[in-house]
Amino acid sequence: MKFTSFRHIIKLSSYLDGKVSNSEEKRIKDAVSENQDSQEVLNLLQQVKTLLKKTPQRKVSRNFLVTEKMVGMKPPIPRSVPVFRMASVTAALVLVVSFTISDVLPTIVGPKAASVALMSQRGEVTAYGVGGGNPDTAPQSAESPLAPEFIGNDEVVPNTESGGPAANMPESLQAENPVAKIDTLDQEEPRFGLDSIQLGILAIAISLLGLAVGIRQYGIIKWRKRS
Amino acid sequence: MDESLLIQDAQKGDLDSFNRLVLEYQDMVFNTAYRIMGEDEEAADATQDAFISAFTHINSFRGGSFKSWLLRTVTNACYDILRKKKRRPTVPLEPISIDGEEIESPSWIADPDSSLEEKSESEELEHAIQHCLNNLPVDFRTVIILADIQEMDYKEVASATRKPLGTVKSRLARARLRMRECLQDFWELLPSKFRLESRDTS
Repeated sequence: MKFTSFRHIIKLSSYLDGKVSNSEEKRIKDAVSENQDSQEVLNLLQQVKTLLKKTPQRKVSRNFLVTEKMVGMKPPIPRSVPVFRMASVTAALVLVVSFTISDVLPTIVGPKAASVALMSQRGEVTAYGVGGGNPDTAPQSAESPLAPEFIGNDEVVPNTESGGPAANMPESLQAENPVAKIDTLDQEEPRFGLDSIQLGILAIAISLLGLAVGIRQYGIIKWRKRS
Repeated sequence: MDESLLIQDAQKGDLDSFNRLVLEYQDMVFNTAYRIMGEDEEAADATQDAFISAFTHINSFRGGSFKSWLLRTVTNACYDILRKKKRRPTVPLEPISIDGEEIESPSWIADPDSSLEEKSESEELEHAIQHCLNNLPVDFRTVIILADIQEMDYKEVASATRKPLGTVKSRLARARLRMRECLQDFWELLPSKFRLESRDTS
């Protein structure tokens, strides 16, 4: 075995780290004991290895923690955001339904039916309205000026055009008379636009939307400050 | 701390778990980067880059030694910075003597009367080692740092440097010999307990 060759130095280096086979180890041991040069090279390698093992470890001057911004993660969504997101969707749905009832429905089913539907929605049609109702709630008093007409469910309500008693009533009474009110509506244009309830719903919907957007923005700002 | 659990959590995207691993390994990673780069600032950059890259690619970790995997990451980060440096070479701010010559390794000989005596033995040793490491080609340097300073297995070094085992053995042997030659030059400066013995000096 030639000890001056670089190949042998590599073997000595591996031997130093215990990375040679058993047979190779025995051969190197014999060679080192017999050859002075080989022994010296092994000592040199050993010295360097020992010295490097003693290399002092430096203390880090700062932490190397990884932030969300560094790795491009999206900002965390605040816990309340899903709730407000749901609220926004609900508000939007309520808004759509409300507009459908008030504006779209009249154009589809006709102004008169829509007016009745609108009144039904508001609870203004009572038992003695169109199509009958609960006769128990209808006034049955004989003293009532309309008593003869309110006989039962099968009774047809006369309108003002046929010269019924409602037409002959004074204006003050007509104002209180629901039958007269229905007939009056028949002649009016259907109402479009928003009433106070719809405006309220619209205001709530817009507020909820604003609140949801605001909370999301707040969450993003807070996350940016933190990171 | 259960390392495997933290790794699993980190693989699911839990940054807090990963940061616990960062706190555990940052000294080792920074020291490796410092030995390869030879400068604090660049070592810090490489360390941070390595941790960011490690988190981004943590799903590619398929078990085994997390330390080795992390050291491979930091080695790559160091190589990247060194490549960039090579493309855009910068002039180091070396002190210049009265004669206009550059003073090499000013920490060693800037003020020999006062500083050398005051420095602790470990500091002197560290400077000697770092000086000699800096003189090695970067491939040799990396191998000797991983094998002898970080005490990694040959296979782990091969994995970290993506070189065959034979290449690692060869580079390590060469690097050790070169280090020995270089450190011999600092024989006088090394603390007595660290002095290298040789046939010439005995």
